[in-house]
Amino acid sequence: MRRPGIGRPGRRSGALGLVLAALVVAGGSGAALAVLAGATPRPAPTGAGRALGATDPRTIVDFSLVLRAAHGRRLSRFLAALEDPASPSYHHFLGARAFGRRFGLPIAELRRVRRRLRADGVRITGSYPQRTALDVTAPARVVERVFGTRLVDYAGAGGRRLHAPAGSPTVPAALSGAVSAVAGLDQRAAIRPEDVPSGGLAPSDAALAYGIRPLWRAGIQGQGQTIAILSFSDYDPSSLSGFDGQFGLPPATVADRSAPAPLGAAGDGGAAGRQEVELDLEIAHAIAPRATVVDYNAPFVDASGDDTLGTLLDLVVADGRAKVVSDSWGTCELTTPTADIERDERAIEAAVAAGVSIFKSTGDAGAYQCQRASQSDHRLSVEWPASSPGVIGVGGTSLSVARDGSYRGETAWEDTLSQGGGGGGLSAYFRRPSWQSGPGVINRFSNGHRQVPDVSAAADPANGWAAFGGGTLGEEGGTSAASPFWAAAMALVTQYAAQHGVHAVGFAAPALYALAARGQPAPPFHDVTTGSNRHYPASPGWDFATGLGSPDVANLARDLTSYLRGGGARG
Amino acid sequence: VSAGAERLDLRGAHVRPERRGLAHGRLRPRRVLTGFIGGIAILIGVAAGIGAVATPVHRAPCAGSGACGAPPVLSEPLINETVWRSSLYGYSFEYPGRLLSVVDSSGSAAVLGAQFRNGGGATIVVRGEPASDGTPKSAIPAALGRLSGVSAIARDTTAGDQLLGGGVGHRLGAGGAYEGVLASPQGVSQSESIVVEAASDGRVLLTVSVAASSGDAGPRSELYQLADAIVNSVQWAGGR
Repeated sequence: MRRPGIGRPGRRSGALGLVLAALVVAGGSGAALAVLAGATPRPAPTGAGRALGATDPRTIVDFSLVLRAAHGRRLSRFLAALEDPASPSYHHFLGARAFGRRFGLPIAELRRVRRRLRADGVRITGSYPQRTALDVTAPARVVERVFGTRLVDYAGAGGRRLHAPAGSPTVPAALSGAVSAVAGLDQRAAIRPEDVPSGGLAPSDAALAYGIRPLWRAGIQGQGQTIAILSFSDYDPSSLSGFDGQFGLPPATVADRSAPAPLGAAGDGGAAGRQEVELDLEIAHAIAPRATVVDYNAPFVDASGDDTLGTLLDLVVADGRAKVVSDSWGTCELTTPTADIERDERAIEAAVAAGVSIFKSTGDAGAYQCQRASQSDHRLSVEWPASSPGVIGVGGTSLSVARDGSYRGETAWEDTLSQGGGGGGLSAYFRRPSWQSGPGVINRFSNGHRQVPDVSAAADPANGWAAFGGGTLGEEGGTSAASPFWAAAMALVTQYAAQHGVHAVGFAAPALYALAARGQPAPPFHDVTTGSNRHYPASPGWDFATGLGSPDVANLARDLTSYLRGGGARG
Repeated sequence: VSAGAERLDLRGAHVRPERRGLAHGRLRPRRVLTGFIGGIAILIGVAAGIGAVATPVHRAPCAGSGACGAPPVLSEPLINETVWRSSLYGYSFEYPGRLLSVVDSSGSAAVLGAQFRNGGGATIVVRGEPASDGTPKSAIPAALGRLSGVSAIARDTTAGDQLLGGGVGHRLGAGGAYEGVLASPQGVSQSESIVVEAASDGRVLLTVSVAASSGDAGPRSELYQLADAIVNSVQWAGGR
């Protein structure tokens, strides 16, 4: 079945702006992607820079073409069945090539697309065995001619010229059976890191407070596990060695995996970018000190819209090494071009099919994630891609410990005056996936859409995480600290499960909700019930400020292993 | 009560649930010192206390060589900031004694002041009253009405200054952003940014007012981070 595009603003709104204008595309784990007229995104009100005039026709533009799934409904059913313990397809994961063969375009159709693009002057620079997208490049004049749009330059930060289409690009009729969207043309949707300076939680503190020590003592420290970190900046390796030295950790094993040309490796992402990458790598290594960490990176300055996230995720799945991913970079969902969301979502679906858990910070502006890009944007909004139903959104808390360092309590992270807080809220695009259920999930704010966060962890910069950078030990927080923490914790859980006969955890979100709903003798979560995130209060059970809560990792390992060993049928 | 008498360094005392960490808040002394150019606080009838305000102390960062000591083996469990407790209502809050001092207090309220090397400053007022005296919403104009020396108080309509949410001590309440004009003794007027938040636990109504020069957005942002840490540290008499 042909999969129509997510749609573009000009095509979505009904006459009265009240009806469902498009109900399309199977999201991860079978959640339908819906765009409601009332939730139609619009560009960031300000801050995107002033228009400078038409883009030079000779400017080389890197972008991507989202490929349709060959069997959209079948893919939707497969992803749902993959996490359904009652299904014969339960946990029958598909690698990248198998996914491409089963749900991608036929080879003959891909050949035809390639020929057509070549004839049009569009060069293909990258493709993936999942058959999710084609990375392409062309001069601006070719882009404008082939895709029926006009490119305009805008003034970006630091004197950079950013281009964006003046109108919605159109897929030519000859390609529309194979290509659903043109992604990455709008460079103004800048991916942002979510790191916030300040804090001081050392690895041993986190290990004690979040119940990791029993696993460490049992020798489970990440051996044999690979954690993928997505990044858009280079980093200083001496920061990692400084961190290891400071806390007596074994040297970190970090492998670099850069985006293919013409994107290539991450460059100077500025102080904030480097700080983000170092924080992510350090926390992942701190929690799972003997795991291999792979830094999947692409340049920040060349990030063309948000589609580069999809590129990196496709690389992760194609490589087939990492089963857990942490991403602390994202954009406001409402201002992210829908084509870019579709590009990312195709990659996320393939990741879910491959049994990969992607952990994504939900952002640091509480219930108002768009405010990060524009101070005057006060819409309730969430972070992309945390709001994908194929991603585990990680929110933020403020952690308290007892005299002996053990867990004492947590509140939702909220800094009202300085506009900070753990991201959480409702997606404008995605329906609530079937697995997102249990106590607290349906509440007075629910509207049938995907709800985030799923889980949370310490993120308050006032009492956050120790991080090493620039030659000194600093203090940082934000949900970008919570995300690598969860990814590394899940690597430990996966190792524990493997030692106890469970060889694949898969996309963990459905199991996490199932565990929370059943109640466990040794609870896997600390339910956070106080505080809020500038709008949504924490409350018993799941809530929009902290999700299911933070983990007791050892309990989670035992409970999840028991659950999976029983085929998801008992807890 | 003087600032010095109120400074109870409870590092390691662990008397109740604490926010953990090296707990310097997000306000880094160096940044405060270099950043805050304008502005002196609104004085709530406490001009005499200004002389007692603290000078920030630079804290050397840890060095990679381990200048902070050996790598911690066990967690440093709790490091509290200075605690101020209301003798009338039992609530308490924490503040960094390196950056702020109590310039005036009573059984129900405390006025925190900061003075920086360049002469700038800010004021944070935490005030309790019986919950029966009003609501969080009604407490906001009442708090504004108590600001002496500030005139022409009006709602701050700048989009980026709006307070989204509002509360105290992890209890939802009310809040708002305002601006006014502070006349100094020298006769020079300057505009002030004022943010007020209030919440109640059913027994006590707490109001936190933060005032600073509106001239420099950067330092004000850092002040707000510090104020957030104070607001979040509030312990109600009956617990959270």
